[in-house]
Amino acid sequence: MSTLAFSLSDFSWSRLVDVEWYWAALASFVVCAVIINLLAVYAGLNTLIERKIAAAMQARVGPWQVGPHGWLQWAADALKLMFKEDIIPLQADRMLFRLAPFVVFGGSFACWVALPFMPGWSPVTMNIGILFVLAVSSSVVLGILMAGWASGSKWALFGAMRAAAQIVSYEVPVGLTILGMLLIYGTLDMQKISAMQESGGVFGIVTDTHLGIFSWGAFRHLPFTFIACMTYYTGALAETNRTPFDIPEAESELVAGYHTEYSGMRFSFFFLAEYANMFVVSAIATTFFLGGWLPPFGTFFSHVLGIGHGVWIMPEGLGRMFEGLFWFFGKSFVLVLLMVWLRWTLPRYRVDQLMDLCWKKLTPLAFVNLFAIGLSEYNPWIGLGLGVVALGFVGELIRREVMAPAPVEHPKIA
Amino acid sequence: MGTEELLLNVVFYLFAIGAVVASIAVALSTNIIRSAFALLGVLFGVAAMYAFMRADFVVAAQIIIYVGGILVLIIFAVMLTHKITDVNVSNESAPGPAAVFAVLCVLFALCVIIATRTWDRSAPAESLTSMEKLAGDTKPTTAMVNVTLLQGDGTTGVLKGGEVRSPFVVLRYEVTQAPSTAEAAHFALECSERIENQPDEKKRWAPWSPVKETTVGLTNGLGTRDERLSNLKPGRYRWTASFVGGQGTLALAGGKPWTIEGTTFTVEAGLTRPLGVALMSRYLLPFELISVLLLAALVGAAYIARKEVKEL
Amino acid sequence: MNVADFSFTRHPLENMLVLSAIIFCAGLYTVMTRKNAVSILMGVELILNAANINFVAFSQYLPSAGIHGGVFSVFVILLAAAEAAVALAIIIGIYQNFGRADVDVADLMKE
Repeated sequence: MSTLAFSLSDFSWSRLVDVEWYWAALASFVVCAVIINLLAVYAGLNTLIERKIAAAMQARVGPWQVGPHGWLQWAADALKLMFKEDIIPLQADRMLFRLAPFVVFGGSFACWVALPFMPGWSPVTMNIGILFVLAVSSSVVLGILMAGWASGSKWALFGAMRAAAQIVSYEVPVGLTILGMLLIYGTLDMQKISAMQESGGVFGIVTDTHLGIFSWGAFRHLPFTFIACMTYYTGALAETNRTPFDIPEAESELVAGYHTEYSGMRFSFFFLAEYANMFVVSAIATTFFLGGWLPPFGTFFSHVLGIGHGVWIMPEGLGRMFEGLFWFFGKSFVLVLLMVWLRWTLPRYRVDQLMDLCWKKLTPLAFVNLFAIGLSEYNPWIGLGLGVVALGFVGELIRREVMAPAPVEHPKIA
Repeated sequence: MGTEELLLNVVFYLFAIGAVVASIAVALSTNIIRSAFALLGVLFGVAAMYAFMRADFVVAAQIIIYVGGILVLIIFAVMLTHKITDVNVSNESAPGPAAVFAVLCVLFALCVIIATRTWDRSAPAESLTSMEKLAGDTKPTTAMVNVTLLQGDGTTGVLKGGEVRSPFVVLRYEVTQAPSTAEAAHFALECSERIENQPDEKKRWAPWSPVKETTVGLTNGLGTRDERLSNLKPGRYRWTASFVGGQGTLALAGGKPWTIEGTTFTVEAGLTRPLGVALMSRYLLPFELISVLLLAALVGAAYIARKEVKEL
Repeated sequence: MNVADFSFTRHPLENMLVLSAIIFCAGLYTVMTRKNAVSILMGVELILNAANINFVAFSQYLPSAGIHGGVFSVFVILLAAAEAAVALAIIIGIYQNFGRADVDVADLMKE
């Protein structure tokens, strides 16, 4: 048992090859069980929070009956879905119908192992962290196609093809913005990326200075990294099929899209996979653009107020790891709440508007952004100059929009 | 059987048998959609094999491009070239005994070649110039560190340090000048690994075992020798080489350990950086050509597959 | 302190090569016997993957082989993508003109 007595930051899967195989199996099982159960509870709570926020924005109360003020509704929903009858339509392809939810679920949940939850610890430390996440989340498309096909109905198939086309298209601007940020960080390992946002910034002109928030990814090469953040977040909204890009699941359009024929526990897999995917893309945005597990104003606390240790409030050790976990989870969750907020605020895009936005607007913007970030990595002063030019350009666009004359009212056609 | 062998075998056979079964399903299934999704199984099995061999970048490239791109394209093509009702028995094949026999012959020939040929597992060639090493031309596996003894009292030494990008290190030391005694001395090689996040500078370098100790007979000890340190995990290391002199006649700085501080080197696991360096240096022309080819394929495929606008 | 990492070289290289041979032969059988053009393309993808496993296996198991195998396998993956795109576009074109996507359907130039 003494081989199991290590601290959390020492944990590494490769250590397990030194112990007996049953201890290794037990340790793996425990870690996986903890992660999956936490994810399931998180996804369930996310559904409830979404309903509550939707209710608040629509001036009603939302779920109210189950538990104190309806806060156990997610448990009731989970139980109901578990006990529902498992219906497989007659014309469905039985094997693929059963397999599809697992492919989608597996793709979304497997991304969680690469996220940098605490300073120095992720469930699996990989030196290709972000590539792994991109790879596994692109295999969700196949699960969607499988689900749409295996349902054996036209509506499901059209919904699946639209969803697949949307996800595959929006992977391009997402990948390009991440590529731009990788030019700055120089590594694919998300732990190191989070650590690098502790100091430096302003186009890389200053290094080793802790600038607090302004060392974070989104502010390092203003305005290009900020544009990258916005582009990434928009692309991520489309990847997870959230409004305003939720044509594949729009109830008024295609019944329920590719999961029309699914009921009960199989449907809940799709549901959980969507919420898990929302958290993953928010976590990636946090890692790349918002500082990962770094606290926002740590140096303020330590230099001005005299409390804390440098950037951190807690001293080194387990306390600091949990402080990092708090900030990481907090920032990701704020981004998830932003997604929920957007869902109940914005109307839906049409399919052709959606594709137009991706290929004609976001992809060229991401290319230009990549080019600009590359130039500013080469020489910070070029970046500064380009940044000023870009800000001037954006300002001119805004000015033209604000000063535009009022639209002419067209005569009504009888 | 230790955990490591068990884990190796379980991981390999699980994914290998999955890939084989899936590839047989691709070959034999009568339903073309099931064939396409069995191809998904093969691609994931192959990606697992790449991960098993620690070629991490290729895993990601395989999944992103093959699974997320090519397979989606294949499934779209299947869905666009069949009516929705006639898919269930749609994938005809014309198996004849000739095809089966030919394939079995090929398989037999390949297995014979694999079983009888011995593959050369020796250490890499010694003639790595530093330029090639830096350019990432081959996987640099030897640190060309020469410890040249200039003076017998151990105050100077000429060192050429380098960066190491693989899990093992060969420290080559060349003794060019012997001290003035015939007695053998211990040549101790110590390698320390840097521990991050330590506030205390002294605690940051932890001794790494095993520490190699070689007895060098210094009269016939001239020439180069290799000490190979393997199974280094990724990190920053520094090495020191010291001669621990014997008592009495060995005129080495009063018999105290005589140390040459080595330079630090970094061990990085993974294929990403060497691959990137290789693509930008030695494989630059193919890289550019393939980007032009992909552009041509993109434009060409979009043009060929478009619907003709019929004249009314 | 010296953690024995998952040292895959303890597993014999031949196993990987036999796996690649089996996948190659499955792909070969698919190419030889299928009638549907998309199926034949899937067989070609199997063959390419088998060759890729070989490239990466030799590169990783044999230190004298260098990194060239890994680089080449990335190029093979990219080329397979380009080839699949164009081939599928052609197959869709054939379907639109002949109504079926079999390989023996485009026989207008026969007597």
